[in-house]
Amino acid sequence: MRPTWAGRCSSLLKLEDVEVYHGQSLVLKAISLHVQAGEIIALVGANGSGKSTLMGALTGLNPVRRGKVVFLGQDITNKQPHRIVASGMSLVPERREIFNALTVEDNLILGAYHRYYRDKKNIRQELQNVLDMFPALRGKEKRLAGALSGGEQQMLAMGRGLMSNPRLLLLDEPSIGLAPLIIQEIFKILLNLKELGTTIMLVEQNAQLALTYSDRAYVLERGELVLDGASSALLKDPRIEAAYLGKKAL
Amino acid sequence: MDSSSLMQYILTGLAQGGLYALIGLGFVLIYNVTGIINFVQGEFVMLGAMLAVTYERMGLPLPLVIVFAVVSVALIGAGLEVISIRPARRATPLTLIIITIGLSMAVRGIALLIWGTDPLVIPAFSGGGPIKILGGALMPQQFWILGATAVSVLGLYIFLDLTVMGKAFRACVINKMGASLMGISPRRMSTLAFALGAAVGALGGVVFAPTLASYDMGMALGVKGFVAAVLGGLTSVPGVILSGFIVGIGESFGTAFISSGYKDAISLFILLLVLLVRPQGLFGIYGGKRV
Amino acid sequence: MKKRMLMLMSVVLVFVLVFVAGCGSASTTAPTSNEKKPFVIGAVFDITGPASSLGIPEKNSAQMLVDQINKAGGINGHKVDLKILDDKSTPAEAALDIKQLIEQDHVLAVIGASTSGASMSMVPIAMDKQIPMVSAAASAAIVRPASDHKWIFKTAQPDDLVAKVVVTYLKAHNITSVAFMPVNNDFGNSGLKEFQAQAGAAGINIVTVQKFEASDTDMTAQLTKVKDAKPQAVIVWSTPPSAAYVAKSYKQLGLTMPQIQSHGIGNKSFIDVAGDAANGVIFPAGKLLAVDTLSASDPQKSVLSKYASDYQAAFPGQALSTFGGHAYDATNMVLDALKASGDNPTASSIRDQLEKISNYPGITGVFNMSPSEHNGLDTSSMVWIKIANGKWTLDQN
Ligand SMILES: Nc1ncnc2c1ncn2[C@@H]1O[C@H](COP(=O)(O)OP(=O)(O)OP(=O)(O)O)[C@@H](O)[C@H]1O
Ligand SMILES: [Mg+2]
Repeated sequence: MRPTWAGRCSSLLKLEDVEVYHGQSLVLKAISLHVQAGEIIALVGANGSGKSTLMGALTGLNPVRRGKVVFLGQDITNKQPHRIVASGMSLVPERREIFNALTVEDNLILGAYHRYYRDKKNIRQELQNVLDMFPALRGKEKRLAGALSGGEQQMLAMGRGLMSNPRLLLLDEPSIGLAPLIIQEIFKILLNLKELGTTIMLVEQNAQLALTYSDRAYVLERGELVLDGASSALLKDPRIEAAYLGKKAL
Repeated sequence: MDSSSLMQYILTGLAQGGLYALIGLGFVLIYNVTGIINFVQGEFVMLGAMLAVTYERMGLPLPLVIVFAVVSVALIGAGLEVISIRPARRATPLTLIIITIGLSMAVRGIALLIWGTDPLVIPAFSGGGPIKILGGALMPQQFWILGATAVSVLGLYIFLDLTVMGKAFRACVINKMGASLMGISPRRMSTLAFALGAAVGALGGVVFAPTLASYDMGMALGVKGFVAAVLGGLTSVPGVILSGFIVGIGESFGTAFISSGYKDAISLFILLLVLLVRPQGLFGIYGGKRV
Repeated sequence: MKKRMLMLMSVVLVFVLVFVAGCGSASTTAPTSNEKKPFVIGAVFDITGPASSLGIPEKNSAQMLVDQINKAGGINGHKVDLKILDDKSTPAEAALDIKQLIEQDHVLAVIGASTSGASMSMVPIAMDKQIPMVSAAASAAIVRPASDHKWIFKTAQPDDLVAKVVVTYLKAHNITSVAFMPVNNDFGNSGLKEFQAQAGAAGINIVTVQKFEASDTDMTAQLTKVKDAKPQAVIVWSTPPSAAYVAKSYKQLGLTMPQIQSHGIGNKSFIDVAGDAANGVIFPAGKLLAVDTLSASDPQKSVLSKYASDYQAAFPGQALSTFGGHAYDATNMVLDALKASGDNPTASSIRDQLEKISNYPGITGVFNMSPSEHNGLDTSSMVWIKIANGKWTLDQN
């Protein structure tokens, strides 16, 4: 086996010394990380630590001032968002950003907009697959997205993200504002997706949840990566327990 | 005043209002996607009328005159967006509006160079005398104006509600960030918005060309379309159409019963009044955008 | 991509530059390299804006005349330098223009402007600076009373004269009730005032006055009111294009009483815009429009024929208009006054010569100026024109 091929194949996404500003303030400092194909990666951190900013930087929403983002062996730093989607990375954003005044079905189809005119036939079928994955949406295809419940909206946002056929799905706080039962349901679906071969990067404030369901995790603190490792190990790490899992430091 | 006079004021207002609605529609399309009040809109109308004259004089048959004029202006609209709005898209809305005002002056200047100052006209689309309706009379050309308004609304409905590209366009209006995350390019949609806005404006100009084509006609018509657009809430298609007719009829009655001199003042007065009482416009809805 | 954008931008820039340059050069004539100092005169016309259909033939006519003089060696060996400015059909610009001509170009006399409004705004400045001004516009108020308008002259028929011609026509046709439709500017309002002043004495009743704006394109609302008032005839006092939209709306409403327009529609633009709605309209005008059908004994015949053939040779494809004639007369008078003033003409010598003009056949009529009369035309300068089949024809009735 050629080592270069193996390296490229396993490292789906790679960040090298990425720096991001909001206006004048440095929000992300020298972030370097990598995501392997097939794993669920968690990114945990407190409010304001820069998690969403990082998601934005990956998807072209926030400009990267320094450093490099490499996805599937290609430099995608500062590419326009719609090009990044087309290259196989899709973000389900923190505020969901669904199209309230369009129907559920239209929302889902627009998820595949970048290839709609090339791939019309398959898209109908994929729409059915996504509805199978989120049965809660079935029967509500013609409803306006704005009229869905919070949990349904989150599922719609995820389904819409999946419609682009991503190699890497980025999820920014999918659990926020949802009841525990629905959270359970959503995370089961994530495991399911992993089985089907989609790589997932998961942003969560709820570290317990994130670490339970992920393979590996990074911890972000005030714009810097301070810890990383296997999720199971981090779950037992005293620093994590103190800061994120609500247990007293030893 | 007898009922036939009343009817005449209404018909005159409707015919004029149809044109205002068409122009206002362009404002709405562009505003929704880009957040820009595009003051080139009136010049798109002028260009439509002027190019109709040019193509008509080249001896093209009427259907081609209409299509060529509308398509040419749509391309000009897209081109203007690419060279002037796109490079400045990070500027404040006010700056962008000022850019469009500057552009409108440049377009007017170029039109003056090309077509001169004489008012021009083309023959009416269909011959024949005035058509009587309940004692009032309209010229056949005025039905063309109303028809153009209807066709534009229908065309936009088909595009926005029944095609995926149209839905992507609306997605951009509803949630720009969500749209770009879905692989929809807001830049391309902004260009498309300018092309569409220019096209409906040009269509208004083409159907108005038998009345007037003049390099300096754009400003006055643009202002009327702007009033209709704001009155309609700036975001709603039915709103701007209805508002166009309201402005047209208000003008016609104002001319008859107050004075022609206050005609422009009347539409601006209606606008101010509405903005004071309902800042979101007659048909606007706060927050939720729609096209 | 970037390259294409740059190219597009430069194309636009070039356009804009050409436009700006074009504007600059249009307004001046190159200075001559004669050993004698050129005589500088100024002109303000409505070259762009709603009154451009008046201003353009005026500019052409004035320039044509000056070019002819210069080609023939100038006046007493002095070339004439004509500075033409565009007031964009606005009174405010006209005032700025005449200031510039007097203060920066030190002109000996000023011709213009095209419209009454623009001319009126120039009058106080010409009076103040004591520079003779010859307007090409209609309103009688520009020069009346002459005692208060020592420096101001005008060549177009004054509206009181035209009103008199119209009133005479109405009386001859036993029309005693009319609707009056003036454009809402100095031209229309002054026409209304003069007509009102004469109609009463002639037993003519104005049943309704319906104004419209120069920029209006649909007059059905006003004409519906006219229709309700049931006059025997409608008198329209405006210039194209608005005058043409009255004719169009007239046709739309199917009105059948006579439509009498004013001398303000004496250019081709009226017929172009009104189309077949122009047919049947009658209006009083200078003899230029009927030059071909004029008898050889008419005192204006030879000057009219020369102007008509010169103009059509110099500006092929451009129709004659009475407005061009007003400017032609004004320019001719100023040039003649310069000729009569010797080697050192002054503003006041030119003024004095202008006031002495008598029995002077021009395009607009035969002029007789005096200290109490600074227009000097009478009703014999006008004929009635009827539009038939899109053409001007002499109306003998
Ligand atoms: N558009 C913006 N302009 C300026 N500063 C911003 C902007 N967005 C975020 N920030 C700042 O950047 C920092 C990181 O914000 P970010 O939203 O990435 O945090 P987060 O980790 O996602 O927080 P949360 O858990 O609350 O979602 C914060 O200090 C925030 O105030
Ligand atoms: Mg966040």
